[in-house]
Amino acid sequence: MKPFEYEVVICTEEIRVGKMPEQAPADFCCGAVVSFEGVVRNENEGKTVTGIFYECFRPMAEKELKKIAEETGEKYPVHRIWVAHRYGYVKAGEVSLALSVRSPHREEAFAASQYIIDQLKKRVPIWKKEYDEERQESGRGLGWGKEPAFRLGQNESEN
Amino acid sequence: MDINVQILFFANLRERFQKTSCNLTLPPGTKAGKLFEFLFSDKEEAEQWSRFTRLAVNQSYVTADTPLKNGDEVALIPPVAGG
Repeated sequence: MKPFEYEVVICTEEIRVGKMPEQAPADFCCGAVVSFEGVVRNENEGKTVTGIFYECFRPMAEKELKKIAEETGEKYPVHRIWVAHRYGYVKAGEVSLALSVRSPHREEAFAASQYIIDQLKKRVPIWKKEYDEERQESGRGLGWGKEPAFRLGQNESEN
Repeated sequence: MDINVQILFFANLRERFQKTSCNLTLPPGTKAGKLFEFLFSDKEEAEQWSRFTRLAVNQSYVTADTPLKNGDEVALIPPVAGG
């Protein structure tokens, strides 16, 4: 098998698995390609969602995602990883996260994909704020993805 | 000699401070986890944020007992929610 390779993309442009680099002859050692797209849903816990604003600490997000890709290459016998995360405003129905893993056999491609997504959700400095129609106009969202379980202090009254 | 560090705020912490960054002058050897005491005048609020916020120095996660150096860029990372 050829050496392990990966590519990490953090961008504001539209992403989808179809945008990943095409299969090269060097990838013919791979019998499995697992592809995944995370899509912004139009509802969350009974509330309408028109889109999500993703905030990102871009240089660190790239660095952390590269670390995750490297770890994945050490943990699983995978050949190629391509992972992309979008930031800025992403409308419901659009892709926020796209991933593709190539490996000789399917088990490691599935396991590696799961590992990458789990680690991304734990470590990569990206935050999300959901928007509905009403609040979109006022520029205020429905709150950050995982609010600390306490009141925010002096600025809370503005939200 | 005192050290100067740059603090970066994101998500609800950015909203809390209503800015994306600030500069702090700190005593030498200040540990990363001590920053909350310098940033929040209210002790209880400092404690609450410190419980949920991770710290990254020069774009890598560090533990609270990491000593800060002059010129460090310290990012306060509220619970992340990518995906």
